[in-house]
Amino acid sequence: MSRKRIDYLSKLRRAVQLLLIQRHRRPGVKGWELKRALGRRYLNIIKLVDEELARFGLTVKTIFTGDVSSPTAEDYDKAIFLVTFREPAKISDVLTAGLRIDDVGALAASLAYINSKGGSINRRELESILIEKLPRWRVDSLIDRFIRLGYLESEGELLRIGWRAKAEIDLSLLSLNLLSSSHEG
Amino acid sequence: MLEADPRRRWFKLGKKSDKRRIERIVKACKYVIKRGSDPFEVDVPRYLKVLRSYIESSLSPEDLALDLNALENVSRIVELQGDWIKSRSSTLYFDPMLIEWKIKSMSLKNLAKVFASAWRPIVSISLISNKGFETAANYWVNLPPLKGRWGRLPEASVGTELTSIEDLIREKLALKGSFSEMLEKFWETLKKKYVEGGVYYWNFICSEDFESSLLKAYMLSFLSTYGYIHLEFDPSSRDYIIIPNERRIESENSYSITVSFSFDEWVRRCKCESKEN
Repeated sequence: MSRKRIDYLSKLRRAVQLLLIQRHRRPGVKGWELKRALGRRYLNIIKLVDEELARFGLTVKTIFTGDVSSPTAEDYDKAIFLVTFREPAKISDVLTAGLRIDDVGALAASLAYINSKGGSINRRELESILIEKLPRWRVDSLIDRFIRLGYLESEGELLRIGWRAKAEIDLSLLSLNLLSSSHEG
Repeated sequence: MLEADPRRRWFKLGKKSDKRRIERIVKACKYVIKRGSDPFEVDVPRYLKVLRSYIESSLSPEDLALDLNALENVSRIVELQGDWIKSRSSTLYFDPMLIEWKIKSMSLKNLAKVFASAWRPIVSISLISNKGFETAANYWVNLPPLKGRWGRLPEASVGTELTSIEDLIREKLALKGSFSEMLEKFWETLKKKYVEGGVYYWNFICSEDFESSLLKAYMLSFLSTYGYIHLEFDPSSRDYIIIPNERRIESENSYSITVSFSFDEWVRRCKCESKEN
């Protein structure tokens, strides 16, 4: 094996370790951290890692800070890189993640509604939607829980889509599936 | 005279109402930002016209600050309008009314199924860090055996002996007379001292030993809490003057003052300062 290939393989392993092992309070690793560990061409290594992880049904997801349409090298340095499922999960996976089925339903409703409102909404407006299906005390504690888990972000009375929702949920697909699903029950 | 000049008076009134209009603009913008409602509800061109006319007649820093605040909020609205257009013009725009109707018509169980169809959970592994492991290992190595740690306390010896109230008073475990009697005497002493001249807090509580000073401080705090005395701060001496009341006064407008009292503070105030003097 050539020296170059050995070097590439060791970087690949290091990249997988950095991406998978949670070293901060939140999972994921910053672009500049990958750059420091893997060198200037870290995006090429990440691309290779993504191809390798595809075999196991996983993918590397990049979450940019702010609204980035055509990312620059600087945007990648500031972004967070995470490993997620490549395909959507099963409902049984959701339930084993420690969430009750009605909590997940409320989360789906919250995210789809906030997304349709352009990404931010007043807390009371969301409460008025959820209160139709859940008691008030549970609505309050659920919204606080979604904020704690990172699915929502709060800025005073304003609620936004949180970092975890951006990483884990395809919001357009969620809204599309919601509109195309049958509405019994 | 300023009031006799109608033009000036008109100018004053006009300026005031202009200021109110600017404040209303700030309020309206903040309301839309906070509620996250349609930013096109704000008439930005009209607001800018008002701001322009206001800035032309503004001279004071307060006016300029108000104008700046209003302009900042209006620019935030313009930003939100941009985002709104971007979101509406995208092919993936979903009407909130339709989404709301679907949410209301579906059960939470079905909503959860929809969630799962778009959910790609994060995969991560939680491990102890090298540094954390090293600290834990060092702690474990240096931790003495349980037997050694538990054997340190001497065996408790239980016995009974008789003692007199005088001994208890001498050991400062009991008071001579009741506490209310002590307070009564203390209050009378204070009144006498006050008649002789101003009583400063630290001058008064300084005694030969720390325990006596502490007792005085405790009783003073008790007397002031129940309205038998009140304190006034003297900035020249940076100390409080104790003023005894003739009778108990129950005041609703009183507030608490914290006076630090520690052994170091007592040494500094009562021993070092008395030596200097």
